[in-house]
Amino acid sequence: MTDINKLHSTQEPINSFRQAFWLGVKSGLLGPAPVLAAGMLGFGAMSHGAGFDSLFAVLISFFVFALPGQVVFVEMVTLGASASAIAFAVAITSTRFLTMTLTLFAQVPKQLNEPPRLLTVHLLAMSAWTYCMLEFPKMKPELRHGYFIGIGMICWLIAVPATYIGFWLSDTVPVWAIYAMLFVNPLFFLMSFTEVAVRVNQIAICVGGLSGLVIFQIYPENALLICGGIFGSCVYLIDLFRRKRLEIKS
Amino acid sequence: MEAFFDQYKLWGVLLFVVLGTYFWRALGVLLSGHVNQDGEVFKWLSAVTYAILGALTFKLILLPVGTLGNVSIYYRIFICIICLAIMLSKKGRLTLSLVTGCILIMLYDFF
Repeated sequence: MTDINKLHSTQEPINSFRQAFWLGVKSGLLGPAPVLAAGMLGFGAMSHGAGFDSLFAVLISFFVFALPGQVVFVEMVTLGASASAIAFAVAITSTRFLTMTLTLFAQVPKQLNEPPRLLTVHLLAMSAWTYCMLEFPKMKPELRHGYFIGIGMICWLIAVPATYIGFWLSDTVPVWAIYAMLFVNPLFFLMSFTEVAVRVNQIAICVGGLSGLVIFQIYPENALLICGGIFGSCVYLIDLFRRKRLEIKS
Repeated sequence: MEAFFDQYKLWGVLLFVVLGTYFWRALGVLLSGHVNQDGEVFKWLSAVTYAILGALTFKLILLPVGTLGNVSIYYRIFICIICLAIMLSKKGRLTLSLVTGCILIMLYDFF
């Protein structure tokens, strides 16, 4: 990870947005961007397998820029889900951005002449968010927006060509390489789950995953929505009752 | 809504997917500093999101459609166990576990 303290310890003027931006770019190149690029290569290969054209696949990465939602999109198209179910499932999957944005921007003081947040928020993804949350406490608040834009921008700029390369490679590379490209995303999600700290969310992952193995065999088109909407809500409700009971007891 | 999708097919879906994703990002910017992010609605949304991602991940690993289905399910599970062991052995080993997983699954073609 980049040494933020180096920048922080020097007597930089408050308006060194540019320096924070380039530090973010550097952090992105050394940290989340290669992992994200691998995921987008895999997404490109998946899109090819789903029968999309390359422009469509690239535009998904450009405009959505949320790997889990993108994979949900491709998977549901492959399974023949209805268009409204796809749109709804991806939107539900993207709700995590609300929490991420709330926690991230709460630490970034508003400044005059800063790029519009409603525009720069598109650069927010799980990878950049994780890095920002780790590094923000070490840096001056005034520099945080620049750092976030730098790291988010490099991830976004890499994601788009990586999608195209993945799409193109899936038609030309041997099957062993395709295995890796298709496996990298589920593996990445699985590894990310080990960093989920809240117990109820850990249980939701397990319950959603295990119920999905059954539901996908019965209702493949709407399995993701059923697993999330019904089983995820059940996990939440059970946890809510448990918490209320503990409150009453104490 | 379905009529719109019928007319514009996947491009229509893409439009709604883009709007559906951006909506949450923009809402977060607008509400930042004004709402309690530990509220019950957020907890419910998190549980639903993680359940969807759990279902998606298990499905992609255990019930894949297409080329990945040629790899034995036992071998896929074996790779996941190895990668999880690497990931849990020390903090910050995401890249190492992903690289290991990719190398192992590529080797399957040579067995």
